[in-house]
Amino acid sequence: MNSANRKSPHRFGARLEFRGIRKSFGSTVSVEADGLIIEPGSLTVLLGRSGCGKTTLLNLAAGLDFPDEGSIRYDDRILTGPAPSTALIFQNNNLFPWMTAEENVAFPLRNAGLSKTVALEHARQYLRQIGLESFSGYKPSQLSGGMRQRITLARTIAMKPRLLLLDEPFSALDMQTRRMMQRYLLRIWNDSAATILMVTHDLHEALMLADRIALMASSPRGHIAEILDIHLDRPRNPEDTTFRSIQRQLDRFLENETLLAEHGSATNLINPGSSPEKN
Amino acid sequence: MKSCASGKSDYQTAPVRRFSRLIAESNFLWFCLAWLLIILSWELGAYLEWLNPQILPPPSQTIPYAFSGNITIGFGQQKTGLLESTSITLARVGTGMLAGILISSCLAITVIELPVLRRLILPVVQSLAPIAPVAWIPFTIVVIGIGGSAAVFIVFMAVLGSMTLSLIAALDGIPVEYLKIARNLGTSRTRMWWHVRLPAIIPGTMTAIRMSFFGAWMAVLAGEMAGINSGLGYMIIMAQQMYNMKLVMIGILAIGFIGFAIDRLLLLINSRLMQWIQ
Repeated sequence: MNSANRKSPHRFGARLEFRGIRKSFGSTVSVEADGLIIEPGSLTVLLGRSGCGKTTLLNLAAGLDFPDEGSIRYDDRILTGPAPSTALIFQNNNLFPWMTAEENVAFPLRNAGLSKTVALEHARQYLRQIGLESFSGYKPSQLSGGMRQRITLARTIAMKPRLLLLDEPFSALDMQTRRMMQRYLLRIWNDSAATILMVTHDLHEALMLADRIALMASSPRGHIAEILDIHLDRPRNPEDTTFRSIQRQLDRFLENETLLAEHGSATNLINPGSSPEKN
Repeated sequence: MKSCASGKSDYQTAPVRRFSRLIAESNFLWFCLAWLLIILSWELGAYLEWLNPQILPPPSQTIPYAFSGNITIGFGQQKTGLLESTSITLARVGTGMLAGILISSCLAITVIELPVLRRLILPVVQSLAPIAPVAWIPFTIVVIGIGGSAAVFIVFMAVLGSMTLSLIAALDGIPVEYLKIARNLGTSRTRMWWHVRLPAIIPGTMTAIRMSFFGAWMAVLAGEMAGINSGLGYMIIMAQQMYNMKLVMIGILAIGFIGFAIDRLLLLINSRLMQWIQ
């Protein structure tokens, strides 16, 4: 719903589809995903506790890794290499510490063949738009975590991506900065009409941002347990009763998940039938 | 952003603070003091005849001799001086290290770019690396001879194994995010090496270069003492054979001071590079 209400986009976000995906690491850890469709221009959140394969799915979507079985469709093509027009943002290490803020933003522009002067000029322009022009010459280590992520987002926007893949982008930030960054992300989403797929373990964050939440469970293997469409008006109010009831419901799920995962390894709750003390 | 880094001890008066800072921060001062103590006790030992001045000539003889400007040893073609020997040895270390760093860089790049070859190259390098550089000396003298190129080869072998392993370890240790982000930002292979991998591995690599230098410095001197017919090590051996103990002492001290100076130089380059990358 929300994506339809947004400003008329000049270009549409990409559409992603996970079909019969299965990806294993060694013999124990594996992830499955089938039938998850990410509509163009939507904001989907993969929510789950750590270790359920959220990041793996994101890497598959980025085309940095490939599934053992099944396929990822980007628009209508099966992904066989790095996903086109896709930007990737991590929790840390998004900016190269040996480059200044402006050099970091200019880096992809230089990659695309712009001359150094032109690229740096563009970079400063993007930094001006986010109010960080005066920090152009600073190294990432001299900037706060929030500033670093804002610069990362600015660099991302400079590339005009159709798909944004965010891996816990705000998890290292303090609560206030995180809220601010969430609002900032929504504004970018609104202006760019890009599709966003974001991974988080922060339930509140998921509810503040998502059109859709794919709830992930980790046992017996990582999989998508449930897909929820979040029909809440924006800007969202955490005090809202619907918001809070969904939050409670998801909270219970995540708590169960954690219990199951922790005890599962000790007493084999995953397969109750096979453990004699359960009967 | 920047923490307020004003003086931590405002209650102290300015001159006192300045003096204590000078004492605390001036490594050079401590360096001089330490050596002054050693020289004084050596002189005292020779004066009181605890040390035999024939075998351990005191600093009052050695130091003026060192700066007399025309230290030479040997006759005819064998004749060599301190300055000449030192520059020969330094040139060998420089050439050997450059060649070693160059080849180990090529090996490391190959291993990263062509993972298939990793399994072929790595075992060889891993088995070469633990060989003490001096162990190459007999082999080298037989195969290459007693000229300068033998010394360069010993340095090269001293650098190659450990440097390659360090480079590969540093490259493998680059946070995976940097590589993924760089790839995602459309970075070409060459730009990936120059603008991402190279700056990312500088800290580890500089340490490896310093360690390699120590190995190379020791190996080349040992080689020169064991048969290679010129250089600082050769000069010391010749001085010993001609019973010029002052020159032996000066040679040993030269080894120490030059090694120390070069290590400091590498450290300085390292800290400059660290400022650049952080």
